[in-house]
Amino acid sequence: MYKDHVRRLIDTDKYWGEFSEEKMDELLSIADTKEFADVKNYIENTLGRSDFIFGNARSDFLLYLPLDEESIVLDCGSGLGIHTFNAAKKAGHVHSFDQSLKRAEFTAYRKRAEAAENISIYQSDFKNLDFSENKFDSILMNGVVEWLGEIDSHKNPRDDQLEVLRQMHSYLKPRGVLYIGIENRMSASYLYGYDHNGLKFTSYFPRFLANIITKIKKGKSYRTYTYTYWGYKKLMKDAGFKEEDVTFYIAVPGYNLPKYIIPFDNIQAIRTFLGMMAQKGGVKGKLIKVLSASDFGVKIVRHLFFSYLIYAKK
Amino acid sequence: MVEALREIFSKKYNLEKCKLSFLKLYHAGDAPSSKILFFVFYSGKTLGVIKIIRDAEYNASLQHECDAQIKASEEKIMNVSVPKIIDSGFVGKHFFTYETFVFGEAVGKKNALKYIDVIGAYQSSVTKKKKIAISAIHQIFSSVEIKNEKYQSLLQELSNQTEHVFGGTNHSDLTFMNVLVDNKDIYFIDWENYGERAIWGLDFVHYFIRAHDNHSYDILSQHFKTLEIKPMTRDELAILYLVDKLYDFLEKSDTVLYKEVCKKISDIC
Repeated sequence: MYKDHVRRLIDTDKYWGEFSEEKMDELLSIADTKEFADVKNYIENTLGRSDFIFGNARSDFLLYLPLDEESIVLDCGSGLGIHTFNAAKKAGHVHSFDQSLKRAEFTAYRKRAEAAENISIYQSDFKNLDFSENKFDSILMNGVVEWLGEIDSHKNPRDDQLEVLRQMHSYLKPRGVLYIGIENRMSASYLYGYDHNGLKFTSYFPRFLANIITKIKKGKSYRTYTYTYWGYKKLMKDAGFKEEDVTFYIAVPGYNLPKYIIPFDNIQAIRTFLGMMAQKGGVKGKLIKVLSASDFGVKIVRHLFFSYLIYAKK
Repeated sequence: MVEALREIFSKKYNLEKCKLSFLKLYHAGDAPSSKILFFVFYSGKTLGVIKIIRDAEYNASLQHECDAQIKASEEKIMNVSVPKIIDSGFVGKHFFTYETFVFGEAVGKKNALKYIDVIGAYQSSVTKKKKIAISAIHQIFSSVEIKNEKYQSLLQELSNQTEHVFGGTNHSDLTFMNVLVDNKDIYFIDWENYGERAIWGLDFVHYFIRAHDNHSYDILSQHFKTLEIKPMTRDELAILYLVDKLYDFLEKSDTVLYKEVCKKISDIC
């Protein structure tokens, strides 16, 4: 029903998302036939994802963007639209696109339900976007850049990432800001967690080794590249951003729910945060206390957090 | 928002913009009325804390909190500290306060009872105002239409009480999460409900009940038998327990009615 409200720039229909396609179909069917309150109830009670879709705190990275009523924003890979709607409260207009038609349809439904006139919705991938240069004040790429290698039009996944980042650089107005929320390749959490390919430790490995292991275990290449702080610096520079215009923050627990946003370059700020963590006590607390006692320790520890928020000004 | 704050701070305090950094802190809650907190740093120095309401529509609650903090520190109504308001203003449509940095940790449930003496001493230092017959309080709580068994039974219990209470100015949300310990200093934070519950002693009882996992009256009764609580007698504690429960019940079920009752009780105190 809401397909008509989505500008379709691609005609594929691949679904992925936070919950199964059956659940997504059910959600859209409720949206078609019932009230917005029923949709919210379904999301809250059946999917249990209300804060994930309607919450504010997940979009707190927006606080660090210079948005005002004149701003034009592009939300890339907007999913069910959480950042689109939160940005629309602060900006003049938000253009929002996702490859999945169903997710874009839900965004279109919510746009109508909330009478959010300042949102335009597209079903598109990066290749088929047709925006003009120097159009946007801010571009949002939250949890997107690591997947760009899957576009698979270059041998090296980094080149796929670079191509899109250069495209985004061209879309930005002069002094416009590209925001990226992404994992840190060297995060300590990968000691017990999984990389994007569903395997352990591959993010730490040299790319060629990660590639061999992924091919053996998953039958495909390793293309979900994440980087270290220095790696991202280089990536942004190669995409056309000047080094001094790229600012890093550490997001805790992660970029998907940045409860704490810590300026990466301010040792005192990181030490303050570590101090708060150390107050919780235990072995971890004691270890943090020791590590944060010296500037050197803090400078090491800041490279071990799970994710970064990167703000790159054109 | 951070860019706008950077602009304000650099101009107001003559600071270099590029040396200002903002650390967003986690503050419970995702509701539009919840607060966003930033620690502000200038190079290697910690300047203070900025508080902003997430949705400008709720600015008034932060303005109220700001006034309360100023009042609490000026009047020295207690033997504990309050983060000092350095400045306040607007960033865009949002009201903000800028206050002293307190590097403390909330007492937390585990340690809540360790600080009961501190809370007791604070409660003792709060001035008792007018004496109020319990029947007057009962009448106000009865005047709102809440058809709920629990509420009615609390009311019934209150009607059996014969003691009186006193008017008093309360923090009104004093829990183990709102008491910070910074080395030996104790700070009370989150003053947005200040003055809401106008009966003397409720801060102590509120803290005490929550420290006991909000348990039933039976658990508290056991404490009545054994504990010698300085700021109030066992009977006073029993009455205040009922009153606090009634306030809590109303607040959870109907905010408008709750505010009405708060106002009425405040008027007679």
